[in-house]
Amino acid sequence: MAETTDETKRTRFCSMFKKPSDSEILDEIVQYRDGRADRIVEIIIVAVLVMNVAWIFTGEGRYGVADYIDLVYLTMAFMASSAIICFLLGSHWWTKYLLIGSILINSFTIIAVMDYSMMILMLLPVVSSCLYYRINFIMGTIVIGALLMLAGLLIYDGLETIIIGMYQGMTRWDRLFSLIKTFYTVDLLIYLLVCIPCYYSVKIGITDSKWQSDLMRERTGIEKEMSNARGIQQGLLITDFPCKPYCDVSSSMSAAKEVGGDFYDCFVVGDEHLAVVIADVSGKGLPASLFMATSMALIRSNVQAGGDLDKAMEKANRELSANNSMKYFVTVWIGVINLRTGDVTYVNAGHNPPFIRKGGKYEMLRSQPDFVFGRKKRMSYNRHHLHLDVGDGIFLYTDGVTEAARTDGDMFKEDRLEKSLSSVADAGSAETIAKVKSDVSDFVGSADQSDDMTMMSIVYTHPYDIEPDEGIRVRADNQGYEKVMGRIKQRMSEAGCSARTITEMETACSEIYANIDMYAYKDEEEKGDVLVTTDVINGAVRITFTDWGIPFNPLEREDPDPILSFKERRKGGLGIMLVKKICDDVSYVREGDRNILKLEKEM
Amino acid sequence: MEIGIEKKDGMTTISPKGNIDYVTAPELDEVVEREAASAASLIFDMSNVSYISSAGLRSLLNADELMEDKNGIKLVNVNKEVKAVLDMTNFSGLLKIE
Repeated sequence: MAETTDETKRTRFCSMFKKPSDSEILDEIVQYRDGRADRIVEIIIVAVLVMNVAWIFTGEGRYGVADYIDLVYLTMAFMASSAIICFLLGSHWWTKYLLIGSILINSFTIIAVMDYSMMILMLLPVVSSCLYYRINFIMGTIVIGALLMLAGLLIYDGLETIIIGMYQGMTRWDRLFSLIKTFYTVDLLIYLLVCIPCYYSVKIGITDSKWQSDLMRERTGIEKEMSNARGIQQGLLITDFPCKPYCDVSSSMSAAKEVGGDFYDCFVVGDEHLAVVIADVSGKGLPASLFMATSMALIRSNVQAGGDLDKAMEKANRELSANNSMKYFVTVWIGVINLRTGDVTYVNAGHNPPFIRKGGKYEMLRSQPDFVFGRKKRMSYNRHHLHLDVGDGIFLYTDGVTEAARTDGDMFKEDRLEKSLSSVADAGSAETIAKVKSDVSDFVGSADQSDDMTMMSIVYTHPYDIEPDEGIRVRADNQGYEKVMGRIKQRMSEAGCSARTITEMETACSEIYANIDMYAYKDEEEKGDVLVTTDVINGAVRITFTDWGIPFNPLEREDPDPILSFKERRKGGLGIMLVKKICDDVSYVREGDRNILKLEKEM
Repeated sequence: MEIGIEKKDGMTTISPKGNIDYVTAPELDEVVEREAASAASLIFDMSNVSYISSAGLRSLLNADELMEDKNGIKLVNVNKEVKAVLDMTNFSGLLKIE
């Protein structure tokens, strides 16, 4: 059942992206054109009828036209009724054959009845059939037209020439020669000459429309991909900010184009530090957004690895510059807030100076910016410091905010931004962003947004006051087990973990403890100690087990094969598999004489 | 660990209380081995079990093997946490759970 559903989904998914084939597109175009062509040919037929009547009345016809006038009336009646039928029944596949056919017959009748001067009328069906843009159709019309002209020649002139020639005692070849010498030959040549451009205009028209439809399809595809790219880009930017109790963070980003080059980021470094980043990639559109994604990832990974901020940024810059074939660059302001003390370390790589809120007042943070990011491999970056007290904050923005322009060209500028910020100098981050946003939009009025506009507001609300757990140290035996499990449960419930998380972590810890008891200290008499710490930080539970037993990494055991019958995987691996499934992150290190195993689970 | 035992019409219901982990599982094994000899079928009432570790899973496996020739074992009143562990380890597809 489930498979069927998946299959249906997949089919639906595929058909959504299925390209219509060239022939399908051509069919559609030609059908549309057919309908229009039919109407035009019907009008031509009306004009031909008028011409016929004029011709009959002006008595242009010589050579006993009157003898054949009934034939002319008959073809006129046929042509008129064809046009009426086609007009009434609308366009079908046969409509064009009927319409062009009736014009062909009419032209032929008049040629047969009239003199050479009417030969040119044979071009009318050919030119009319051009309207249908069908190679076979126009070729058919050209050939039939030429054959009818030949037949007309024979009826009107040829027989006569041949018979007279016979009376005059001409040889067979002389008679044929005199036939070719008539004006008719020239008419046939003119006819074929005009047919050439007609034929090619149809051929070129078909190729052109094919190109056009290809182009159109490509553009629709690109637009779809752009909106997908926008989705991915929006997904990269976090909206649920970490460290809520300590820092109040809000952000806003509106891209001028479908995908922009601005980004912001906010992530935890260690336990007690929060990094805030704002950046602006040179350029816009898809390439800028790709560069943005790389920059963001490199900054995040290098800063999260720990160490000095300036060194981390230098490393990120080296990595980014090394693979920057498009010669983009990005301006970055990054600050790492020590949540415990409120000290901020920051690096400015060519970015606009942020505004710092201190004691209820906003002030621009002036520091000598370093070189832009991602462009030169060997660049050194300097770290600067500032201090935030509780209630202080940082406002980060990109030049899209300060350079937001009115229709008269006047820009929002830093002083207006400062004024706007000062009016909400004691507000929360969300309110600050909302205020600046509304002030900017009031200022620009109806003018188009020309650049990405990104901002982030950070307010330091509460010092980080959780002391890390010093842990419980017991002998790794059954008595110790009860104590350790009891303490883990107690600390987790004190930190407000849900009953479900507690039970899950208890299961995982039980497995780890059992492992230490059984493998780290195999000797029953000489059981060593185990130290267990339990911390709940930033919405994640972290439990560490430290023992002084033999080096043993339980994570290296292979998971039992879930396909095997569970009776075959009786020994080992099952417990660790459970731990891995329960926890988001499990890691092992051997430090000196200690095994340290860390379990982490988001709540 | 406290383990309740109730016998009725050849059906033996074993109700462990607390956690079945590497410390308590041997106690459960003992009870199971004793009861499996006489019972026609074994039922584990899991209503008072808060969590089960891999050692506990092995105990259930032992019990299932012991009862293979009879009616096997059956778990009843399995709570969400225990069910989650059974699911993670694919035991839920192999043991009878009601």
